[in-house]
Amino acid sequence: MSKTIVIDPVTRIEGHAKITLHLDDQGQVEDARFHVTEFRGFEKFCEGRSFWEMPGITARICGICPVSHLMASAKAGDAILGVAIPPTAARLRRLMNWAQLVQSHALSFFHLSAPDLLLGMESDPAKRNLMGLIDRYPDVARNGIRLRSFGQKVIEMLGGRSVHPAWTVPGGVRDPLSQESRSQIQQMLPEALAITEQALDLLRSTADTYRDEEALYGNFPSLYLGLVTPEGGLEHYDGLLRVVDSDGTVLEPGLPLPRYREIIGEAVEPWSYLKFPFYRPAATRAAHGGAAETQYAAGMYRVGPLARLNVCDFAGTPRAEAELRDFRRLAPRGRPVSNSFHSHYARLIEILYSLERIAETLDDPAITDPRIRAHAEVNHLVGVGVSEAPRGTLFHEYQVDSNGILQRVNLIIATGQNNLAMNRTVKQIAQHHIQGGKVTEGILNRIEHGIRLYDPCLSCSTHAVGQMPLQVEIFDSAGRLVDRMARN
Amino acid sequence: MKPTLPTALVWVIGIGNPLRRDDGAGWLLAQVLAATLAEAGCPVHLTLQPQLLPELAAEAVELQPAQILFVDASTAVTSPQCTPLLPGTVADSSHGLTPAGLLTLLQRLYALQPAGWLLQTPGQEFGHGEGLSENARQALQAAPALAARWLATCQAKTDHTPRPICEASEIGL
Repeated sequence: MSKTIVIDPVTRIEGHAKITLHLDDQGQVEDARFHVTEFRGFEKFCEGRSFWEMPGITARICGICPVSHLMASAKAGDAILGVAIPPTAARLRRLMNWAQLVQSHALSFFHLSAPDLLLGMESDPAKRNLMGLIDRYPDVARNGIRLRSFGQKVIEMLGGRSVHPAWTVPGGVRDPLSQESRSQIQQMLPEALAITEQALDLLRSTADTYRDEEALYGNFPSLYLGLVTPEGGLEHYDGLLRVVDSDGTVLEPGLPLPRYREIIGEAVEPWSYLKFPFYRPAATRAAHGGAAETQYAAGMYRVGPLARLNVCDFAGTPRAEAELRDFRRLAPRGRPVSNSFHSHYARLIEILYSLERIAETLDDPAITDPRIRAHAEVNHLVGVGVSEAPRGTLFHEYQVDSNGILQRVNLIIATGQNNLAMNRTVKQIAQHHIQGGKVTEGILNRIEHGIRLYDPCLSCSTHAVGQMPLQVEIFDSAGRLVDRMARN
Repeated sequence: MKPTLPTALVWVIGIGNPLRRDDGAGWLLAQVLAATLAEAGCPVHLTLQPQLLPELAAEAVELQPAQILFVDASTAVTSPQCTPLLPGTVADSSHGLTPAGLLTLLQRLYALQPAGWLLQTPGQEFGHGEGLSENARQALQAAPALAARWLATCQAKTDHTPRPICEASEIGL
C-alpha cells in the first residue's frame, strides 16, 4: 500500500513548515511537498498606511533580515518621490546591505549548517546541533559569533540598533556615518576577513565527505535570477535583473527593475501559504497559448547566493574573484553551477565579497559626507524597490494615491522564489534515500538539509511570525496518514 | 562603617519589545534597575534586546561582567520574581537564545562564568501596540523598591570577589 511521510516541523530554518512524502505501493517516493504553514498577510494590512511608514513596518516582517526590507522599501519610496538619492546615502545603504549579508550568511553557515557538515548528516541527533558543535568545534562556533557580531555592529553603527534600525527612509538615510564608526569598522575588518578565509578552508576540507550530496542535493536544471551591475558584475543593491538558463544562455541580460512583472508571475497552491513565483516567458511557452499559471512549474528559477554567482559575469573584488573562478570549475565550462549543495560555498564567497566591498567603500573619504537625504513629495503613484536579500532577490511594489496612502502592496520574497526548487530538492533527496518506505532519523535530517541549502526565511516569505521546526507525515495511496515524525 | 558596592560589572539585559504591549515591561524594569544601581555608584552596563542573540557572547568578552541580570516580562508570574540561573541547553534557533543558553555560550566558548539571574515581571497583553496593561504597570511600580532592596543587599557585602550580589531570598522576590 502506498503511503505518505510527513516531516513536521522542519528545524534550523526560519519559520514553520512541514514536508510530506507520498509513497507509491512499492514504498518508493512518488512525490514530495514542502508546505509552509504560517500566514501573516503584510500585503493586505499595509493598505491604507502611508508609504513613508513602509520601511519601518515591513522591517518587522523579520528579525533576521530586516535590513533587506528596509532597502527594498526605501527604494520603492525613492521611486514614489521620483528622486535620485545623494551618492553617499546610496553608498551607506550598500554598506548596511553588505553587513546584513555577512551576518545572515554567517548564521546560516556556522550555526545552522555546520552541525550537519562537521558532525555528519546521520550522526547522533542528540549531538547534531549547536550544542554538539560547541563541544566538538568551539573555534567554529566562536568564529560564527564573531562574524555575525561584525555584521550586526556595522548595522548598529549605521542605524542605531542591530535589529529593526529605523534608518533608511524614502530619499536616503537618516544619519551619516561618523568618522569614529568608520575607523572602528576598518579595525574590525581584518579579523572578519581572516575568519571567512578559515571558513572557506574548512568547507574545502569537507568536500571529499560530501561527494554524494554534491551530486544529489538540489542538482537539476533550472533558471537563475539575480541582480547584476550594468557591466554584468555581482550586485546586491541595485542594477538590472538578469535571468540565465541551465545551459548558461542569458535569457534576460538586463531588465530594468520596475519592469519585473513582465517576467515574473506568481502561482498559488492550496497546500501552502508560500506563493510560487515563476519566470513568465518559460511558463507561457509551455502553456502553448493557455494561461501561464497552468504551466508555472516550467518557469522554475532559483535566487540567492548560488543564483547570484551564476548570473554575474564577474565579482569585481580580488579575493572573491579568485574564489568565483574556483566556484565556476564546479560546473562544465560556460554552464551555471546547478547543485544547490554548493550554496554553502556561494555564501562564503559572498561574505568575502561583502567584506572587500565594505573595506573599499570605507576607504573613500566621501563616505562620511553629511549630505544623505533628498526631500520631495509624491511625484509618482507607483514605486518599485528591488534589492538582493541574503536569500535572494526581494521586490517591493507600492501603489499610492496623491497623498502617498497605499492602495496596493506587492511583496515578492526571496524564499518564495525558491519554492519550486525547494520542492524539487526535497523530492530528489527523498527519492534517493527512501527505499521500500523505510525512513530513518538520519534520512529526515538529510531532507531537512535540502531545505537548509536555501536558508529559507518563512517569516519573510509568508510575511508570518514564528519559528521553523520540521514535521514529516507519511500518507498511503488512499490519502490516509499512516505515520508522523516531529521535533521542536 | 561606610557601605560598600560591588566593584565588578553588573550587566543588566532587558528583553522584550515595547511595540508588543507588556512585552516592553522587561525593558522598563531593566532601565529602572540599571539607573538605580548606577546612581548608587555600582558599575553597571545596560542592554535592551528584542531577543538574546549569539553575538552577546562576544560583547560579554569585552565587558567581563561578574553578574548578568536578565529582565523579562512573563505570563508565568503574578508578581516580580527573581531566580538564579545556571547554564542550559543552547537551542537550534536562529531567532534567539534563552538566558541559560547564553550563559552556556559564555562558559563553554569563552570560559566566562558570571552569576546569572532571571528577573521576571508579570505580563498579560502581548498583542501589537504600545503601553502596558494595568496589571503589568502596577507590578512595575515595585521596581524602585526592588532596586533599593537589591542595592541594600549589595551594600551589605564587603567582599568584592565576583559572585551574586544577592540571593533570591535576600531581595524579597
